[in-house]
Amino acid sequence: MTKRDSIRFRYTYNDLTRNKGVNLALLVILVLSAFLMATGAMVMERLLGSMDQLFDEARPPHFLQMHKGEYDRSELDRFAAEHPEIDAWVIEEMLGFDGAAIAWERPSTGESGDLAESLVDNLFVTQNPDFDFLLDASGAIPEPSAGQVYVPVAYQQQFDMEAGDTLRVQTAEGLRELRVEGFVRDAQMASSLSQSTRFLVSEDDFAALTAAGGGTPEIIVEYRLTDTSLVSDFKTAYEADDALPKNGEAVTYQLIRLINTFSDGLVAVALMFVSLLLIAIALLNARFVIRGTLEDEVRQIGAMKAIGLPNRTISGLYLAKYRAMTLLACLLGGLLALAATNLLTRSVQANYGEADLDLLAVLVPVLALALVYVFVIAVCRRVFRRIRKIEVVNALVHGSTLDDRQTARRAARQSKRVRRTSLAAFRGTNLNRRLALLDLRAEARQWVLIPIVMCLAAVLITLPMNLYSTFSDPQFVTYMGAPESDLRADLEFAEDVDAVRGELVAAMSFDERLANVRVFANVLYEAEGEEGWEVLRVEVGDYSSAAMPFLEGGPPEAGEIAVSVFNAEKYGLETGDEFLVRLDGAASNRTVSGVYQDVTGGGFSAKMEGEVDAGAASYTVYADAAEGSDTGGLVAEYADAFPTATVTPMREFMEQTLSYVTDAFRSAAVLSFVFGLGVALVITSLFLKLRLTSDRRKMGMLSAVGFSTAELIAQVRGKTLAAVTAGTLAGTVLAATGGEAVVGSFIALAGLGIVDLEFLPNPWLVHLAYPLLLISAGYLGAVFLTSRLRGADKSSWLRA
Amino acid sequence: MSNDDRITLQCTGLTKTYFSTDPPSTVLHGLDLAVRTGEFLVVMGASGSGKSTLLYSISGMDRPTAGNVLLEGRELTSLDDAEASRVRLTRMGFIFQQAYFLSNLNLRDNILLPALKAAPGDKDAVIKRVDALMERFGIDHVQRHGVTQVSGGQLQRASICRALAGEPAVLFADEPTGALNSSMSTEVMNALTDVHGDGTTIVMVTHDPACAARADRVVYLRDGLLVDTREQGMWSAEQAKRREDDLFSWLSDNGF
Repeated sequence: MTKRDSIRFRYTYNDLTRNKGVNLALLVILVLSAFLMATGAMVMERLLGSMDQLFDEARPPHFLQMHKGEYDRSELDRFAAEHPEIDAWVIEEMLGFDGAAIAWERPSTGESGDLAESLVDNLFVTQNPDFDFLLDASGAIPEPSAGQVYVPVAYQQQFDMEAGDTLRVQTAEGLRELRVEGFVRDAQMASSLSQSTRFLVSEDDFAALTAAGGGTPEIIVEYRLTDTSLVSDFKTAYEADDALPKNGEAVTYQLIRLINTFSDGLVAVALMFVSLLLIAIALLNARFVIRGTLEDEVRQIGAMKAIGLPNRTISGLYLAKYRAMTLLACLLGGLLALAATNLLTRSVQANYGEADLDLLAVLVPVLALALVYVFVIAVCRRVFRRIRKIEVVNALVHGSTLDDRQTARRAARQSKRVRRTSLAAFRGTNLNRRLALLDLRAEARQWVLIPIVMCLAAVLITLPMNLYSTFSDPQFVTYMGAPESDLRADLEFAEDVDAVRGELVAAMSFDERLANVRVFANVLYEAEGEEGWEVLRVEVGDYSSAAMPFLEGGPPEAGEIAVSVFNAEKYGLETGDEFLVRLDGAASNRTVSGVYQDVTGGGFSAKMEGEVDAGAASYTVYADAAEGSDTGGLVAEYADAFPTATVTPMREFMEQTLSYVTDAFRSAAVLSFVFGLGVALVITSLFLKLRLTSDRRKMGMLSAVGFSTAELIAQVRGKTLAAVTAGTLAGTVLAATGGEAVVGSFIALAGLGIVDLEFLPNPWLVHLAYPLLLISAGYLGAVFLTSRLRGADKSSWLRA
Repeated sequence: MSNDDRITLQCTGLTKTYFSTDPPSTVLHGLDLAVRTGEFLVVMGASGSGKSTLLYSISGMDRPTAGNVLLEGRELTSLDDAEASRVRLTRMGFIFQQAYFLSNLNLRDNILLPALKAAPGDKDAVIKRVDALMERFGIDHVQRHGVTQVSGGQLQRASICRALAGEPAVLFADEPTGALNSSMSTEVMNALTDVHGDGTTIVMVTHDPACAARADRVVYLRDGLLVDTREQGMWSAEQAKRREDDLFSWLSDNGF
């Protein structure tokens, strides 16, 4: 260690130990920032790494089309022959069973359960020969023997299932038992947003299950292309071909990746967002503390300058403390992040498999932390540049960091201000309040830190909460292109679907416990795209009483069509435009009545007025439970009475579909709430500690001339309360306006079909409880700090 | 009873120990002192002898560890903070070495502040009194100036105006000329002598024998104990030089 290093080290050590409270507060915020940034980066890296690895091993299709019911295999052969860009293709046959028809049991302990709670489609399949493999924990491609089944890892986590458990499937002919041999990861359906999941069985068992009946046969036509850039053209070509099966969802490789990244990457993005806000807060504080330090130690700095130390050396001496603190924060934050990442990526690892710990896995968090370090130090260095401007004489004689020009400017500002105020003309009676307000005005440049920090903290706690309440609000269903309702019944392709529809609608309409029964038919129209006619999924029904919001225009009436945002963009449609569609070869012109947001089915859908009771691809029936009726009971009753219908309580449907997203937002909301309140408390305390130190003489003088300690405390608390309240209110407004716009555009970028996210906040919580809590936290800091003023010898303030 | 015999301020057995140091340090050791009404009393002593501690303990700014303080017959040490503040507001005035003022008020408002607080219902009278004081001490022409725009002497004279605005029973001054050059010091001491001429009781701590020569009585403090007292009688400009010389030799005898 050179002599200079040793001086710097000693100086840093003394500096750190002297202002323990202030340094600790700053360190805590820096550690949190570094921790969140590193965790966010690591979770993202792990997720993308795991996903890449799974996608490499499992080779999911580039384009897939789901379909229920009859189809013509020769047409698919013809289509494949016509398209040389197809690398490989397969028709995967699947058998769908309701969750209630699948149960498990552990013979050793007798524990058991069923999957009735799960609302996703449970599909039994056999292993694919060429691609779209289901992989076991080791990444191998398992081939189950007769009597064995591989269960999705999601169920392993959800129900704590183990290899060796027995899985029972209720078929039309009775129970079939299978032994759980292991668990499989599924690239195509890994996302928690996915509506279906796949069980792997042997060819023999698949045939037996099919023969036993009770399951819904379904197929996925899957394609691997020579080049993934051709996917969107390929999709158009497939949809334009009338002869191909396509009554289910069509999904592209990009969409699979996007949904995976979105659902699991949200946490990472939320963490990084919180980290950025905390870094901003930490920097504001560092700036404030540094300026305070410079003012406190101006004579020392003047002396160093006087003995000829260059500016660089002096600022290096002071900067060393911040370097040490930031470095320590990055190290601590990084270590904490390692633990947190393991915790947060547990489900990612289960669903996607563990990615190898390669160079990138180390580099990404290190880089993120290095960025935090460089950024913080760069800003601190900038603040220390003021040292250059300090003049030796002013520093030593007047103890001022300002040069002559700055001093003159400050005096001019001050005299202008004091000329405008007059206690003699003051008509009020509360001198303390008057003094506090004058102080706030005169010291606005210092006090502004509090409103800014509180504003950021308010945004920090409000936005994640608003996202959480929006995604978990029953009304969110309207973003899914569906009206708000209590229960929903889906009738998908089956032989007698039209008859069942009739019976179900009749039963529901006569049921007094149900109200507002609405039937929609999913009809596959065609619209003219760039490459000819292609499928347009249209929901036909009565929209006159539909309680769903439209971005522009309104619900369709006779002769009209409403389209989703993505379709409006795709076909260049606006409200009032004519849109040519055809059904069974008959073309008709429809006027666009409005545009709505839809996150389902990739976001491409349309709605028409009318009643279709035959020939639709599927039907959806919505109903509300009359007052006092039990939705759960009704759902169970109708599910029993109409076994071919999937009856779901909307609330649960929403909760399960969006559970991962809402879980992520809930965690983010809780985390940022704690951090926000903590930051409000820590920063207010830190600010006041420094402020009270520099205001000691003023307080001593006021005390001498007859102001009681209680009055001095009230002045400080009043100023704090005003600053804290102003910042919190500004933050609450900002979060509701600008915050909504920023988050909305981020969500829009995610390509989910929501282009205009309007928060569905819990108004009591975010507009009343949160601001009050935040203000209380800030005020608590003031109470805590100022209470120490009591009992002090006032003369010590004057003699400081 | 004449003014000379009446006691405005009295302390008995005054002890002040600071427990924040390790070991605790006792600065005043059971000190007894009485200040007569209308008297100009100066406290002298070497640095660290306890002069300022005495001043802040008898003025109720600091709470003594033991002993009593009576101001106009009223016990101060048993008062709570609010009551003690009220006494400082209405019955005491302070002048410090540094002229402490609020930088966001002009000079006149700074002087008005405690007086307005003491008598909020008597605003016009307070303003009239303050304006008269400013005129008397020659700072009425800078009344709207900020505190950074006037000289040190003007600031200390403003301090005197602020201390007098509430018509106090006793005026405390802690090294009021410590930060001033000699001409400004004379300015300030002339003002204080003038105030004393009105019958105001003054207790002043100083290092400067020239300032101390103005007092009726000088007490000498050593290690927290009152070791000597010197009665000087009324000050006059003609005898100033001789008084200073006599005081200086007395101080020398005390080891100053």
